[in-house]
Order: sequence, then C-alpha cells, then structure tokens
Amino acid sequence: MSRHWEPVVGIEVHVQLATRSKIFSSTSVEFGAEPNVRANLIDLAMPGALPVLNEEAVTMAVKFGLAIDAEIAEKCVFDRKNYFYPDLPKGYQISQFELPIVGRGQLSIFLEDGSVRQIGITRAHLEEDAGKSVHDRFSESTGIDLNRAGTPLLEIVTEPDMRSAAEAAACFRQIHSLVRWLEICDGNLAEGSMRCDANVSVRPVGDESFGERTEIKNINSFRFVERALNYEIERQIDVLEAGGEVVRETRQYDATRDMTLSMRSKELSDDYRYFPDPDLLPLRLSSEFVARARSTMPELPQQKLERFISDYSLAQPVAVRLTRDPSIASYFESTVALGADPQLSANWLLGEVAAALKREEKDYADIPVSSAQLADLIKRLQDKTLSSTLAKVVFEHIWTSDGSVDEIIERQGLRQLNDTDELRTLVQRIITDHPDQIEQIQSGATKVMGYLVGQVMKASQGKADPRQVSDLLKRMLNI
Amino acid sequence: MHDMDDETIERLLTLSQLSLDIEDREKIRRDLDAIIGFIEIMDQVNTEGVEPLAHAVDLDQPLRKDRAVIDFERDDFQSLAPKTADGFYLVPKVLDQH
Repeated sequence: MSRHWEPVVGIEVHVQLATRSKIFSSTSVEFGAEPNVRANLIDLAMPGALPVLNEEAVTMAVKFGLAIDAEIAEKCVFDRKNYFYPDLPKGYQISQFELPIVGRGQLSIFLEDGSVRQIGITRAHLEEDAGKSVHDRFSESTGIDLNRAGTPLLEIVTEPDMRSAAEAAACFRQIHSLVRWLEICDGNLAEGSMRCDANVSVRPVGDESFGERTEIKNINSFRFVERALNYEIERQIDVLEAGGEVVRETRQYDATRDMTLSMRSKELSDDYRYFPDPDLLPLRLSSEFVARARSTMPELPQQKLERFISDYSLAQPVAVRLTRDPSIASYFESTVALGADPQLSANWLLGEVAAALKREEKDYADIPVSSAQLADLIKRLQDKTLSSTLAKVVFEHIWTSDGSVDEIIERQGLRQLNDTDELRTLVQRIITDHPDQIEQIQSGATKVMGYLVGQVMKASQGKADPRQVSDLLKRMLNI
Repeated sequence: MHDMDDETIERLLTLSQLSLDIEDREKIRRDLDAIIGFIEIMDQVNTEGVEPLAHAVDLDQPLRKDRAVIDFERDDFQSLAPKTADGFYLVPKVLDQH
C-alpha cells in the first residue's frame, strides 16, 4: 500500500440471535430443515397476521449493550424498511431506525503486535432476517425458502474507527468472541450465523475528511474480511492515483478470484422509506428488565483477560488467545486450578493442544484429553519426571487412548534420565567416544558442544533433558 | 399548493413497482397533491418540544416467551400458493442478485 494513503473502515455485523423461536412469531429457528417447514402465517405475511416480539431476543440485545458499556434505550421503536424482493414477503423488513435498542458503546480490539485499540460502536438494533432465494434449482422460476425469514438479528454498527484491513478483521473477531461469550449467538460462520459488511474509503494521510466509500457485503470469515478489504483499499488507491474518482456503490467479495466486484450503484434502491411499524408498539425497558439481563451475564472476556494477566502473569497476546473462546478459557482455568503451572498450561493449550485440534479439525470444546490429564502431564514436567520431548510422547498417548499420565510413563518407560549415575555414565561414554570433538571444544570451538548434546540425547533415546546434559558435559569437561 | 413533478411521480412508481398509463398518472398526481396539501396544513403546527409519536395508541409492546410451537402444516400454506415445487414457493425468475 502506498504510504500516502490512509484507509478508513467501519463494519456492520449481523448476528443471528440464538433464540428458540423467531423474533415476531413462534416458529422454531432450527437450522437445516426442509424448505418452508419453519414458515408460519406470520413469516409468510398472511393478511391480518400480527407480529409479537420475542422477549429473549430483547434480553440478548440488552446483554450485548451492557457488555459494550452502551446506553440501553428506555424506549425504542420498530420501523418498516421498505423494499421489494420475493424472499421478503411483507414487502418490508421490520427493523429499527431512529430509536435503536442499543446506543453508543465501545469495544477493545487486540492486534497481532500485542497492541489494543478502542473501537466505537455506533449502535446495535434488532431486526428480522429475510428468507432465501434459490436461483439455480428451477429453470423457469426462482425458489423461495422462508425458513430463515423472521430469524432474530442484532445488527451491530461500528464507527469508522479502523485504519487497516487487519483492524477490521480483529474487530469482527472480537464481536464474534463476545457474542459467543454472552451465549447470544452460536458464532457458526459457515452456517451464516454472523455476516459482516464493511464500509471502506481512503484519504491522503493527514486529511480530516473522509473520501467516498464503498460497501462490501456479506463477508463470512475473518480471513475474507481482511483479504476483501486489502483488495478494495488497493483498488481505491489505484483509481485515485490514476486521477479517477471512487464511485459510491455496493460490492461483493469473490473469494475464489480474491477480488471485489461491483453489485449495484446505490441510488434508488437506497430509499427505504422507514416509518414506525403500526403493528408494533414502542418497547419500553424497565430498569428491572435490564438488571435481570445483567444478572445472567457471565464474566466478560475483557474482565477475564485482565484477570489472566494480573493473576497468572501471562503476556497480553497469550491472554487474548486464551480468552477468545469460552471453552478454551474454562479449560485453561480448570487445568491451573488442578495445580499446573499457568505459563506451561498456556503454552501447551496454545501449542500442542491447538496443533492436535487443528490436525483433527476439532474445537476446544471437543478436546479428548481431560484438564486433569493435562494438569498431571504438566506437573510431571514441573517435577522433571518428563523432558519436553518425552512429554510430547505422553501427550500423544493420552490424546488417543485412556489411562493416567503416571501409568503411561511407567508402562512405556518414559521417565526422564535426571542427574543420576545412569546419565553420568552415558555422558562419560560419549566423551570417551569423541576425543576429536573434545579437543576442539577445549581449544574454544564451543559450537561443537551442541553436537555432543545431540549424541547424548540420541543415546538416551530422547529421555534426557538437553539442558541438564549440556550442564553435565560442561562440568565433566571443566569448562 | 404543492405540485408533483413528473420526476417525483416516476420515482414513486419505481419504488412501489407500479406502472400507470397517462390518465391514471394524472389522477394520482391530483390525489397526491391533495394529500400533500393536507400534510402541509399539519406542518404549520408548532411541535417544538413535543416528543415524536411512534404509535397512535399509548401502550407498551407486550413480549412473548421464547417458545417454539409447531401448529401448522406446510401443505396447508402451499395449497394457497400459485406455484410450488419441492417445498419451495416459486416466483418468476429473479435475475438481479439482491
């Protein structure tokens, strides 16, 4: 990217709320049903059918508002957003326009380099999802499936506070993490439970005003947010540097070609003629209602993160990764509660465990090793029964089969050779076998030491601790 | 008296997905002019300090408990639709990707 340009990004995230029934009807929202079996007369917009607001959707929106320290509106209003499309049978979407349920708040995002940035949240409002149009199944027609119509959505809108694609991706990730913590969304990106739109413009570095922006619609992964924005930022810079003008329009990201494409220019289609929905009354939230929502909220990731740093002296990037997902955080906490060293526990969870999960395409919620087993393994590392190499061998055993750590160590003979006669004998033998190398070391070529440590490790079949071997060698050679 | 120009009429027709012949257009223009005339009278009322009204009835929205109920058959609804197949409601081919 040219260093003369600064990108300005704001995002809108649609979060499907994890209620049992729809926002304005009692139809189930379960994913993956036959077309239209979850579409009742309200979802189908039958004449005379009236919407009734789902209390749980309201509670979930309030929880999100409290979590980002936002004002919760005492009174909010549902509006009709008018447009014609066959997967929207009423001819309007029920949404909130002037008086949303959640007002201004803020969110901390964590960047790869360990820095933290505050991102302003403009608002969050409740609305209903549309159905799905199937364009390629019928030759003469478009098929309409209204199972998704009326699924509760919380649309979260940020301020244009981000200055790079990476920050926008971090923000989307943070919102994902937060709604999963609050248990208000399952966070399943592949099933469309969260979708991200990004507004992006570029301006000369130092300018206060914003350039003309484009909107990239419906991005459904963290990686694609970053890639789509990087492409779009470059494209806008190219247009401007060639003397052209950025056109305000909606674009979509094509992941296979890694580029954004123009969808439609925003002129007429943007006139939604919002007005208050006469079928719904203003929603007033009492302080008791808000207090009840607050009382069922868990410790927030931000609070947990600060506690992990202060209680366990973890580095911030480590604490960020441990609090990204509720199941990894609780796994970490129970491992530490069983007496395992916090730093080692963090290293193992984010290292070996993460790698094994990735290999088997599993989540932290599905770790086949109990926190008690991992705690035992780490304790055997702490008391030097195991070297780190041997610990990995034991880990593979407990990952694939049952059995206690101590049983496996005994059964497989995996105990580390410590500073014992056995280890001394081994080191002495290597010294005797390598007179040339010893002479080199004694004349100052200390690099050869690594070779000898390797020979001892090999002879011990990996059961020695390389650091101990190195110390022992130095002592026995008087260097 | 407000006068609806052709451009505004055209825009409203596009937004409401209607097409009208010249005669009906003129009728609509007269009706809209009259309606907007009424609104202009209301515009003269001083609403300084008055909270905008979201609903004509002064009541609050009741809430429904989050319970999923299946109390219908898809076939009953589909029998009312002009065209269905494989459980989908069918509409004329939509080309414009929304």
